Amino acid sequence: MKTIKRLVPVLLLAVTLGACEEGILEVLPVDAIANETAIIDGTSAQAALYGAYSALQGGSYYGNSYSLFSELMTPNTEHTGTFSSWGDADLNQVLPNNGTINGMWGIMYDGINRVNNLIERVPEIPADDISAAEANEILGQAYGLRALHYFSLARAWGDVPLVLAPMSDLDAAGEVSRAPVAQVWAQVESDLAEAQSRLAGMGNNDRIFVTPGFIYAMQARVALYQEDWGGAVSAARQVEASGDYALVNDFGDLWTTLGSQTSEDIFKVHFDEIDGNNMGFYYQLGGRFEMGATSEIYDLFPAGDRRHEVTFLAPHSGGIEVSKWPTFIGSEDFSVIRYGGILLLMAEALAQQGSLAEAVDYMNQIRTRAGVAPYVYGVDLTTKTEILDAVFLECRLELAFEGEYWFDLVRTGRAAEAIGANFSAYESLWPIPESEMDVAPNLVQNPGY
Amino acid sequence: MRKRLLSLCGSVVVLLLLAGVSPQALVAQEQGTITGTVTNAQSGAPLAGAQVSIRGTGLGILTNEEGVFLLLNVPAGRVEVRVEYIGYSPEAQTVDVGAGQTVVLDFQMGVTAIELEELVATGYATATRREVSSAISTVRSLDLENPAVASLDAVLLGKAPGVQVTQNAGNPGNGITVRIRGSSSIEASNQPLYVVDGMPIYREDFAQLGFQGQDLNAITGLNPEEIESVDILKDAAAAAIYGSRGSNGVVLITTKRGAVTRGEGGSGQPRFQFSSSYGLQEASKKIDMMNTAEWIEYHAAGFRYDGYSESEIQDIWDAYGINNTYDTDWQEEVMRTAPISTTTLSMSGGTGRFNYLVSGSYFDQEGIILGSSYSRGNGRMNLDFQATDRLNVSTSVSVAKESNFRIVSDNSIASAVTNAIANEPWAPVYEADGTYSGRASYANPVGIGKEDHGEALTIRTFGTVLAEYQVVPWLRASGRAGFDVLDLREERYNSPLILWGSGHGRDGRMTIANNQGRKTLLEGYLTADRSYGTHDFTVTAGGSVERNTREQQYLRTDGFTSTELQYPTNAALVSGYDGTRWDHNLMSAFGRATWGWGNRLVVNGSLRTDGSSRFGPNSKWGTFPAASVAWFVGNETFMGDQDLITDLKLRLSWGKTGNESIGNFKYLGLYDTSNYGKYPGSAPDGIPNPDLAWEKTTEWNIGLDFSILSDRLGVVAELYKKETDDLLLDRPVTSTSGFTEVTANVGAIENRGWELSLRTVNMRADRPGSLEWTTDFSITHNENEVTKLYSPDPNLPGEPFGGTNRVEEGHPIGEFYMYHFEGVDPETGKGLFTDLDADGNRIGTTTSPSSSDRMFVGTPHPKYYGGFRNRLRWAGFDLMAFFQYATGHKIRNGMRTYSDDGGYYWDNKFADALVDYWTPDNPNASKPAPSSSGRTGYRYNSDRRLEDASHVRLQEVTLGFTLPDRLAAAVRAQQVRLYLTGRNLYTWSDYTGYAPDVHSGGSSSGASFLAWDFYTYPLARTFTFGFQGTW
Repeated sequence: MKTIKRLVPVLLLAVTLGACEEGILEVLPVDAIANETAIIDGTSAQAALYGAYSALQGGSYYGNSYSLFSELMTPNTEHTGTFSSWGDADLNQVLPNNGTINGMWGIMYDGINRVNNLIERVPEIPADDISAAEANEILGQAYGLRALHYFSLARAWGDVPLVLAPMSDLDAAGEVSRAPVAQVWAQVESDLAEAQSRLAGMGNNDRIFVTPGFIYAMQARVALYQEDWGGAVSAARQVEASGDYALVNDFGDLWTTLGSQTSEDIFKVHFDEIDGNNMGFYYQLGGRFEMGATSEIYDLFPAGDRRHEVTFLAPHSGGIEVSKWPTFIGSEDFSVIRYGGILLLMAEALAQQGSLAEAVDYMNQIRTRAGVAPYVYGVDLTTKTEILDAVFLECRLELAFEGEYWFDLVRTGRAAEAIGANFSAYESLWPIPESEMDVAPNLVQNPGY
Repeated sequence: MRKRLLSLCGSVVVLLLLAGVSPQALVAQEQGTITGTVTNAQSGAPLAGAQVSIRGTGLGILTNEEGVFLLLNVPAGRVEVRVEYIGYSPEAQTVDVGAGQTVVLDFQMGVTAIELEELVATGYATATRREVSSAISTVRSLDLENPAVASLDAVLLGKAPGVQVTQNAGNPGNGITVRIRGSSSIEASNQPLYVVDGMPIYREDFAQLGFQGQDLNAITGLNPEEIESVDILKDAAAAAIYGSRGSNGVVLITTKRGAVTRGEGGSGQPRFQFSSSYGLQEASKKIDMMNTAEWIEYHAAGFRYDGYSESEIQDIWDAYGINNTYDTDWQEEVMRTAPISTTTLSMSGGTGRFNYLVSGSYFDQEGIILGSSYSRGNGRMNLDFQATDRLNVSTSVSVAKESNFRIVSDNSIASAVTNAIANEPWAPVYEADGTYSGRASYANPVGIGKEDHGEALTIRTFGTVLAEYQVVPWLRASGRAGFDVLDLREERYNSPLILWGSGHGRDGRMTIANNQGRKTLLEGYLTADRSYGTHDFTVTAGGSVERNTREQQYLRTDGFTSTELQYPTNAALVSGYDGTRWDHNLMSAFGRATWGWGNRLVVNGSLRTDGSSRFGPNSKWGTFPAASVAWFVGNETFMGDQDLITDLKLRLSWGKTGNESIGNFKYLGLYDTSNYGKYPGSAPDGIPNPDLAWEKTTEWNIGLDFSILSDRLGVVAELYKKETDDLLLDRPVTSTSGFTEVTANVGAIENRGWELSLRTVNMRADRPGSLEWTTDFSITHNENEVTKLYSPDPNLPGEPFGGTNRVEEGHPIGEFYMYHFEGVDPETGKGLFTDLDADGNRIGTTTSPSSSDRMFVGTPHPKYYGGFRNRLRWAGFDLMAFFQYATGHKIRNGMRTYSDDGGYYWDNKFADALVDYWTPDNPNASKPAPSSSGRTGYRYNSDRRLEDASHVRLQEVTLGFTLPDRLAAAVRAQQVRLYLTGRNLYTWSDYTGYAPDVHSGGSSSGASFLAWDFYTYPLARTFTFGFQGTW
C-alpha cells in the first residue's frame, strides 16, 4: 500500500508528461506553405507568378550559364577559368554528363512546372477570390513564359518532352518521351496565341514582365527559327507598330550599372543587388574571370564603333574582359529581347523575302546608332547573300555575348565555318543530360553523343 | 496556452518527486566499523576514489585522497570486503567484525589486463563490464588528458576499436568525422549520437558560412579534461536504447564529479587540481613545390611540346614578366610556429550528502597558418545532493565560449593554403610600394591571412538536472530535465586589398551570420532491481520528450569607405540576406530488462519506440528492439580448475536501430519563397512523400572477452554484421517534373567486420617503485558494401571538380571510379589509359578516354586501422607512446588537378612532376609530356591523382615525472607531476600531400564523398610542457 502511495507522484508525472506533449510531432515549417494552399486567390496566384519569373533568374538560365555556355561554344569567347564543364564548351567537347547542360535542362523544366501549376490552378480559383481580369493577366503571362521555356529548349535540344501539366505521379513522370520538335514549335505558337488573347489591352510599360509586345517579339523569333519569313516580318511589324519601342540614342545607355529599363527593352529578366546575375562576375577580373572575349571578335568591330568601347575593357595579359554587364554584383537586368534585336531580325527576314533595300534600311538603324557608316544598298551591299552576311555580322557585333550567337550559327548553318575543326554537325544539338537519361528510360539521346 | 502548459511540465517533474518524500527512522543494529588504506602496488601511492564495498549489504564508500576508507555500521559477523578501481584487478578480503569493534584492512592494487568491474554507461543506467552483453568500448580520463587538440572526438583517434576518426583538416578546432563500424547511410548523417550525462547534445555543424573542409562541430565545446569516461555503444543491441538515433552508434560521455573528501578543514574540504601546459606547433610537413627556375623549365617544356619556338616562349615570359627576380616560397610565407596552451583549475569535494565539482579551463591555440586560431573557455559545475534518504538530486551544467578564427584554406581558389601551393614562385609577396602583389594566378595568400578574418564565436551552455527517488528499496524513479543552448555568431571579412579576393572591387565585403539552437529534454523512468536467489532482475522503463528549435539569420554587406570600418552600418549595400526558423521534436518510450543468473548468464532485452516530427503521417513512429546474452564460460564447471584462461565470456547480440538525421519537412510538398527581385514570389519546393520513414539498421554481434596468463593478457574480440535498409536517399527523378530528386527510403548498405583489442601487462609491479609496463593494441577491419540502390544506375556524388566517388551496388560506398593510367605512349608522349568495352572489359589503351572508360581503381575505406600504445612507469617516471595506423586505402590528391597538369594551368607544380617526364629524348618516361594546351592526358581525372593513404603515425609521446612526496609537500601539494609531450611526431606514409588522413569536403559532406585532399590545412606537430598539481 505504501509502495503504491509512493508511486502516485511517479504515475502523475508520467500522465502529465504524456498529456502536455500531445501533438508535438505535428511540426510544420514557418517559412513555407503547403502545396494545397499555394494558389488559392489573387494574391497567392500573383506570388506564384513572381515565383515563375524567378526561375528565369537561375544561374543555369539567364543568371549566367545559358548565355555564357552557348557563347563559349562559339569563337566569341574563350575559357580563362577553372570550371571544367565550361572548359569543355570552349573546346566543343560537351558530353552528356556536362553539369551545365544538366543545370540548364533542369531549370527550364523547373520554370515550366511553376507555370503549369498556374495554368492548371488559376482557372479553378473561385470568382470571389480573383477577378477575371487578374486571372487573365496572370494566365497570359504564364502562357508567355511557357512559350519562352519551350523556345529555349527546342532551339538547344530539338525534340524535347512536352510537359503541359504538373506531374504528381513520379513513376508516370519517368515515362516521359521526346516530342518531335515541330510539335514543340506548335505548342510554343499556341501558348503565344493564348497569351496574346489574354493579355490584349495590357500595356507594354513594365518590361521585366511578359507584355503584349514581348509576345509579338517571340512570335517573330519563333517564325524566324522556323524560316517562316513572312510570319517573322508581320510579327515584328506588330512590335514596331505598337509605338512603344525605340532605339536608345547611345548604345552605352543599354549597359549601365543600374541596368534600368529603356525604350529599347522588350523583355528583360530582372536582377538587383540581392537577386543578382553573375555575368560581370564571370566576365571580369574583379570576379572570377572565367571567360574572356577572343581577339577575333575584339578585332571585328569597325573603327569608331561606339559598341566596341562599351562591350570591352582594354585587353591585358590575362585576356579581354567583357563589360556589357559592368558590375559583378550583377544588379543589371538581363535583356532577353530588345528592339535592336527585332530590327536585325526584321532585316534578316526581309532579305530572305527579297525586300533587300528595306532590309538594309532596318540594319542601318543599328549601324547609325553605333556611330558607323550606314550601308548604301546597291553600292556596299547588293545581293541577298551579301545582305544576309552583313546582317549576320551585325547581329554578332550588336548582340555580342547576349547569348544569341551560338543559336544563330546553328540556325543559319554557319557553325562549321565559324568554329572550324572542333565542331561536328551532330553538335548542333546539345546532349540530353546523362542523369536525365538514367531516370527517364524512354528518352532517346541526340545522335552522336 | 500550450506554451504555459509546457513550462509547467519542467517544474512538475521535480515537485512531484519531492511530494513523495518522507523522513525515515534509523534502526539500530549490532554493528562494527572497518577502516583501511588502498594503495597502488607499483608506486605505493594512495588510490583516491576506489570503490570499497561489503558484499551482499549494499554498504559501500569511496576512498578519500589519502586512499583511506571508513565503513560504519557494518553488520557484525563474517563479511567480504571488496575493492574495485578502474584499471586494477579487484581485490577482496574476508574478515570477522565484532559488534562495536573497528577492523583495519589495507589493500594493494595491481594493474589488470581486463577490467570486469569498471562501470560502463549503457544509457539510462550503468552496469559493470561483467554485466555487459553487447559491444561497448570505453575510454577513460587518463587517455583524454592533455590532448593538445580542441576536440574530444579528435582525442578518440585510435583509442577505441571500431571507431574511425578523421580529422578532415588541421586547423584549430576543426570538425571531425567519426564513423562507428563504417558508414551505414548514403545521405543521412553518419555521425554518432553524443549523450553527455544523459543529455543528447547538439553534434551538428551550425555554420552558415562555408569554410569548405573546415567545418565547425558542436562537439568542440566539450573540454576533454572535464570528462571521466567515454562509453561508445557500438552494436545495435547497445545502441537500440537510443532507438531512432542509434544506428551510427552512441557516444555516452560522463563528466567528472565530486567525491567525498576529509581533511583538516573537516568533511567536504575542497581538493584543488591545477594543470597547465604550454607548447609550440609547427607544420608537420611542407609540400615540395617547384621554385622559379623549375617552374620556368617545366612550363617551357609544355610550350615546346606544343610547337612553340624558344623565342616564342621567351616572348611569353617577357609579356607576363616571368623571370628569376623572385623565388617566393609561398608555403613558408603563410606558415608560422604557433603557441598552444591550456590551463584547468578544478575544485571538488564532498561530504557524502553534498558533493561538488567546479572547474574552469582555458584553451588557446594559434594556427600554424596565418589568420587562424582557436580559443575556448569552459566552466562546469556538477553537484550531487542527497536531499533525503530517498531523494538524490544532481546537476551537471557546462558553459563554454569558443572563438574559432578560420581562414579559408581548403577547397577554394581564394584561400591561404590553396594559394600558397598554387601561386607561381616568380611572383613576389609584396610590391615595392608595400601593397600585396597580385601578379600570381590567384589571390595573395599572405594578404588573405593578414587582412581577411572569419571568427566563429560560440556561446554554449548545456546541462541536466536529475532527481532520483527511491520509492522502495528495489524501485527507483528518475526524472531528468536537460537543456542545450547554442549561440553561434559567424563573421567573414573579405578585404578589398587583395586582388582576386571576393572583397576586391567591392570595397570590401562583410558577412555576418547568427545561429541559435535550443534543445530541451524531459524524461522520466523507473528502475526496478530485485533478486530471487541467484537470479537478479533489473527492469527500466520510461519516456522522453525532446524539442529542438533552430533559428538563423544572415547578412552580407558590400562597400566600405575604409578597411577599418567593417560593420553593416558602414556598408553601401546589402548583397545578401536570409533568416528562418524550424522545429524538430522527438517523443519516445523505452524499456530495458536484465536477467542475471549468478555468475553464469546475463540476458538483456530492450525496446524503444520513437516518434519524430521529421517523418510522414504514415510512419511517424518507429520501434527498435534489441536482445543480447552473455555467457560466463569461464565459470562453468567443465572449464575445470585451470588457471590459464580466466574470465572467459561469450557475448551474442542482435538489435535494430534507426536514423532520422535528415532535413526537416522532407515528407511535405511545399511552396517556398522564390522572389523575383523585389517582387515576393513562391514556387514549388518538393514532392510530398507521406511514406517517408526511418532508416533501419539490424546488427548481429558476437563478442568474446577473456584473460590468460593470470590476467597478463586481456582480449576483447568482436565480430559483427550490420545491415541498413530503407536508406534515406534523395533519389533522382526526371527533371521534367520540375524537380531533380525526392527524399525516399531506398537502398541498402551492409557493414561487416571484426575488432580486436589486446591489453598486455608486460611487467607488473610487485612493490613500490618497481617497473610497470602495459601495452594496448587495437585493430579493426570493416567491409562496406552497397547492397541495393533505387535504380541499377550508379550515381556519382556531385562534388566539384569532377565526381570520382561512386555509389554502386556490390561496391563500398564512395569507391573511387576514374580513368586508369597505364603509362605513356613512347611515340607521342601522351598518357595511355585503359580502354574498356561496353561490358567493362579491357580492350586496350587509349589516349582520349571517354566517360565509359572509367573503372573502379581503389577504395577510400581503410582495410585495417587501429592504435598501439605502450605505457611504462618506474619510480616517479611515466612514459607513454601512442601510434595510430590505417592501411589499405587511397586518397585523391586533388591538388594534382592543377599542380600536376602538364603545365595547362600556371599553378605551381609538385616538384616531382619534373622527374622523368616524356621528351623525344626520354621516350620511355613514366609521366606524359608536359603540354601547355593540356593535350597529353594530364587533365583526365585518372588514378594518377590517387595515392596510397596507408600510414602509421607516432601520434603522441609523453614523458612524465611525479615529484617525490616530500618535494611536493614543499609546495604544500599532495601530488605534482611535470611532463613533456610531443604530438603528431612522425608519419610514415608515401602520400605527397600534407597528410593522408584528411578530407576537404569536411564532416558534413556526405558519406559517399570521401578521401579528397584539396589544399587541406596541414596538420601541426606539437611539443608541450605541462604541469599537474593536486592540493
